[in-house]
Amino acid sequence: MKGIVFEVLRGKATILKNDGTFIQVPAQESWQAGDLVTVRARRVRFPAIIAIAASVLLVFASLFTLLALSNRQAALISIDINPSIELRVNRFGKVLSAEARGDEGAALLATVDVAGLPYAEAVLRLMEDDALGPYLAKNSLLVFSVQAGSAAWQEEVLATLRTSADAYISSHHGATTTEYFIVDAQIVTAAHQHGVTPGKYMLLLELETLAPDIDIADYAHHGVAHIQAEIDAHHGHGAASSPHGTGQQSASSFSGTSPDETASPSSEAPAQPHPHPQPAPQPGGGHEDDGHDSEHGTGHGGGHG
Amino acid sequence: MGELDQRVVLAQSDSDEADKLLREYLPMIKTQVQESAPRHADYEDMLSVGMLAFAGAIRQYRPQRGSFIPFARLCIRSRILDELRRGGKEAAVAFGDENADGQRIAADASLAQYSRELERLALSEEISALRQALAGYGVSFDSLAKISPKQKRSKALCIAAARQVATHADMRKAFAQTAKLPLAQLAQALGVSPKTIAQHRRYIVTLVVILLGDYPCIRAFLPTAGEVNT
Repeated sequence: MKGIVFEVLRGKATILKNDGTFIQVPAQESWQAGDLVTVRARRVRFPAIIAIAASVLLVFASLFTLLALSNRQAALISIDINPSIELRVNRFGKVLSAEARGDEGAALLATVDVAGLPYAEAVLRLMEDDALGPYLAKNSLLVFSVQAGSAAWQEEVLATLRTSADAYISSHHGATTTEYFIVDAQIVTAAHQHGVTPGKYMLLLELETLAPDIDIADYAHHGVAHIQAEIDAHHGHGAASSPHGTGQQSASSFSGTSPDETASPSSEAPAQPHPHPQPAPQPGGGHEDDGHDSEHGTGHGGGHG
Repeated sequence: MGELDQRVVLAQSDSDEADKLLREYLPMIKTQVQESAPRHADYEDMLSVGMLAFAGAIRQYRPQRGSFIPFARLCIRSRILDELRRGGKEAAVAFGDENADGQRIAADASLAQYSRELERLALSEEISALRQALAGYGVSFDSLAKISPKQKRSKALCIAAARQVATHADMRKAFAQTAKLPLAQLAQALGVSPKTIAQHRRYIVTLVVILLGDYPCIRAFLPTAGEVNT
């Protein structure tokens, strides 16, 4: 903006700007009254204290956000063998808390503290504990389920669990079978309403599909190996043909819905009315009405037709 | 000598006539500014420079130089190019178009420098006179920055108030006799509280003194005809 220098006094110049207002600015040496000069709009400068306060506020806001994220559940992992345990996991893969379903689970958690551990390490810590060892040694079935906010996160958790758990089982408890489910929030809610973990609930649903006349509440207190034996029996092959006793096998059953499908799980459900939320089949695998899919089958050999 | 040339000669000693010429030839000044200044230059700034140059052309004009209008155009153009050259980068662009005619550039620069010096002297004289005039109203240059309104709305109100006083004979007379602003009349005319006018009293007085006094160069520099100039 142009201005006319009116006066230069004690290093300051009084200038008439061409918008009709006057300003006083530090004078340049060459300026004298009557000069036409260019004046620039003064930049608004925040006092240093405001800048510091804003920075501190930003840091606190970031810390608060980080704290909020670290305390918020981002995934749920359930582990069933006979004790049933659920691990609440935050966005950073750390266990927020562990919750037992039943007295045996509570007894196990009384001896093992997994809070704050990475979930894979927490699962290993549980499996390694003396309290769980006897269960794993009984040619049992170990069932995991994973529920998380995104498909990628679920797959990542599942892959990590499979890698660590299968490696441990194959080297320490070769007769134990593992099974994995991806579930959605609706399944988790329904499972909790029945007082079981999502992993056990998936097996109960499978049993109910095969034997609609049973009441799954009657099986809620049974171990997952027993429920699996019932499933096998209803398949007509009986528990004796189950590979549970044939050696360790990582049997994956991606029976839950993927996050993309969770919006309408019932759309993939069997046509017959069902009182419980039904897991939708995973593309390329998962539960089918016509029997168990090949992925499931690989874990149990001839146990499922 | 044409009628216009006679008016210009008269305007050299009559600031009212100079103001009239500025208002009448404002479209010509704007056109010349637009032709002379690059597009990226601040138009309001260049218009102020152009109006100062026109006021300077009035002062410098001699009938034996020919018609006034071509002379005024040359003064405006030279002054704007000079201002751009002093501004730095823009000047290189502006003068780049004129490289084909070196002599003309030199003549322009010389004329502009001469005009600028005359302009500075004229402004300096007006500023000295204004200092004395404002002192009579208790306004010093040192306080002008402090009394200037900062908000756009207040500024517009003050300019409107000053124009009211300058254009209405009764208010002008009252101001001349009492050396005070007719607050009640102004408040009524502008539809605001007298307190609002009183709040900016000294700044409005400054504008009124500039508008009513013999300060054609300062007036020429102030916002274009639609705002302060009457």
